[in-house]
Amino acid sequence: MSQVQNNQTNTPSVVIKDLHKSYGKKKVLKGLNLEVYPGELFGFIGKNGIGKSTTIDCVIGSKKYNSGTITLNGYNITTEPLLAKEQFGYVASEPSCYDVMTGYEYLEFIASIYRVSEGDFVRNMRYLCGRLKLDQRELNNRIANYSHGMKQKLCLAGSLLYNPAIWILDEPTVGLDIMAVEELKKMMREYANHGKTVFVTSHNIDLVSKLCDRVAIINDGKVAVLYDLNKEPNRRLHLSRAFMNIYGEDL
Amino acid sequence: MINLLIKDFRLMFGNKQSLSKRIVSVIFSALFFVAFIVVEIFLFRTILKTIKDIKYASTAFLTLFLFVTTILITIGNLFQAKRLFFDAKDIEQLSNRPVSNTQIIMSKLLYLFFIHYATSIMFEYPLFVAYGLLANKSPMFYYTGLFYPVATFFFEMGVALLLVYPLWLFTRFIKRRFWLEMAVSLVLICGLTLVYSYVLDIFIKLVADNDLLSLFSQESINGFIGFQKYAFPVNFLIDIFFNKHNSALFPFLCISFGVFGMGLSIAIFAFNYVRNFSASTTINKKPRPFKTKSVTSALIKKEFGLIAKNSDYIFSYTGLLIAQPLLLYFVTKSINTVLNSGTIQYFAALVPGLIDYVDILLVMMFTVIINQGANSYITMEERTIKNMKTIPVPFGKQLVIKVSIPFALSSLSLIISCVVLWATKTVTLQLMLFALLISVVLLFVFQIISLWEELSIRHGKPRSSSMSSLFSYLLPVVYAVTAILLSYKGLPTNVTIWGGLAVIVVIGAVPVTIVFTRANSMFLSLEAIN
Repeated sequence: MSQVQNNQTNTPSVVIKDLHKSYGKKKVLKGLNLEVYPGELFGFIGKNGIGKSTTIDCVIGSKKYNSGTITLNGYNITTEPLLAKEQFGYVASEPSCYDVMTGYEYLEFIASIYRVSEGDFVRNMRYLCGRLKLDQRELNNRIANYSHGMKQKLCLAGSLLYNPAIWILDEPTVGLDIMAVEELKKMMREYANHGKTVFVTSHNIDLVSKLCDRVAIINDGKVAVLYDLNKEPNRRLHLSRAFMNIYGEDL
Repeated sequence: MINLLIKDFRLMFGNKQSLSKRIVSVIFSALFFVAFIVVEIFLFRTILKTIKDIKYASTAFLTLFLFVTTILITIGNLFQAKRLFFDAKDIEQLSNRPVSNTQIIMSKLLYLFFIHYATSIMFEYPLFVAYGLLANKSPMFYYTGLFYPVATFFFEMGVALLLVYPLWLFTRFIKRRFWLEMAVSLVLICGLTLVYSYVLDIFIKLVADNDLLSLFSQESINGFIGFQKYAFPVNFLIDIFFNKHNSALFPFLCISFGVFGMGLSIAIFAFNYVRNFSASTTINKKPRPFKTKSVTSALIKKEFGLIAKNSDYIFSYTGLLIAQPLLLYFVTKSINTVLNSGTIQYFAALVPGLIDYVDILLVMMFTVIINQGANSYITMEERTIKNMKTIPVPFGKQLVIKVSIPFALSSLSLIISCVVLWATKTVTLQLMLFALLISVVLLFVFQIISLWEELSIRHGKPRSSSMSSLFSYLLPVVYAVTAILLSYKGLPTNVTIWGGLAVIVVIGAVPVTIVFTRANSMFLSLEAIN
């Protein structure tokens, strides 16, 4: 947990500066600023429809934004998109893998795109399947036949197969059973402890408050508050109240 | 139960459009329905009038037509029943709802009955009207005709329900085996092509000879009469509804209810089995060793998989691609026969090269219409659009690969089709090369327009394919009209064909330029599903 403090002086791996994004006349992001550091498990939370997924979509290069800059490990997502995209692994809230492929073919596809060597592929696949309780024999079946949880586990495995510097997870626990959620929490913590950046959004305040090093709550298109939960451990106990206060609701 | 029934209708006919669009759609569907029935009545009346003087010809025609529709409607019922009873998502949705199996099955049967009734009325009732008009039947005849679909329902649906579980097991078995699925699809498509060519041959013969009676020769009528005793249930129904022989009623009802009872028992057993004990789909094979691929190879393999391994595409695209040479050969040969016979020869003489233009037009239309089956380049990705946007591969490269696979497959099928036409002496070598060149250009333009439509999807709304549909028909017609006009002005055939090609290139250049300059930006603005 002390890693965050050490990293404060490091170069941030995710930098969002003055980000503006509108859908037609509706302004969703109004000058959002954020920095996330290597070795940090960062929680990004907010109520439904407030702009969490829009922010992530802009960060991963999935959506155009009106103004501002986003850099990932120093690479600008707009001007150097290919280098920037090599820096992260991304998991969406809904599994996004190809139904016509088998699980194995999907992982093979990801490995080829990110130029993973044969040795690394076999090693990483075995490790990730073991951690996520993905039966390797199941990988021979078409993804169309998988359950929602199985698909999500496969996407999680795919996002880490090439050992990215930044792991971005948008509501990763949706559809996972309790054992898989606990394993995922451990994996996120371990990944951050290995000096990587973990950037996660979740509706599960409990998960964020117990797990993250720092948490940002978004409101009105900006970061409303940013808590360092290691420096202010009491915040972990009262994060729900803070969350409700920001949106003017009582518990 | 009523709610379940409404749910099934909504799933079938969709409910995504606005109210005004739905009203317009209902009005147009009703108009089409009425127009279709009017045309059918006219056609049947003409046929029955032509053959009325030949002994037993009317009965032979009634038997033949109703028997063919019985087979087609039973096949339709079979696939409807399979979709209704074994839809995995529906089973999953209903599994935790407080509805009994009886309610579910009854609602599905009611749905099947409504669909069966509507289909039968559309295809079979016009025959009653045409027959009644010629035979001066009383209003009671038309009224009882409305019960014909009810009478046929139990037998036809019974047969469909008997076969629905074996069909489900069979499709599930082959869906897990890609090559077997391809082989079965191929056999089916080739079979259908041969049936189509047989029907087309009869039609061409009738048009070319302008002689309906050639189909109803005494020999063929004798054949139909001999066949009649095997054409159950149509022979019983003709006795009951047309000849008013009530003695056929009791055995017909016994057989129909018997078949329906057996079919329903099997369907209920199968539905319960699949709902409660659906078998595991696991195939335990040892994973083969990983082989490193280049980014381009990986993307090509992915795109090929999206097209070739998707069951929907196997019938609507890959299967048709393989059947294209055969289909094109039959149609071109038949059309050439028509153009070289009767009064049409006169028009062909007015416009030198008319047959060549029509042959090229057919090649163009077949190519582009079959290609329509694979032009959902981005829609086919569904949720994985986000993968396209996040992988470190330039959008342009991804889009080029996406479009190249169907282009290459369609072009290959086109080349084989053209060679078949030339080898069978249906077209000359020169005409084959022209057809190939123009069709490849059209295919390219069509794919770019389709890509443009795909890239323009916004706010989760479905893609508008009106422009690609319009261009797929408009461009071949523009080519043909240009060539015909130039030929009429006295220009040599070769020049007119080049003229038609030039017009296509000029029209197609606009969307091609737009897509080439804006594809990257449009792709980023494309609203991916979260």
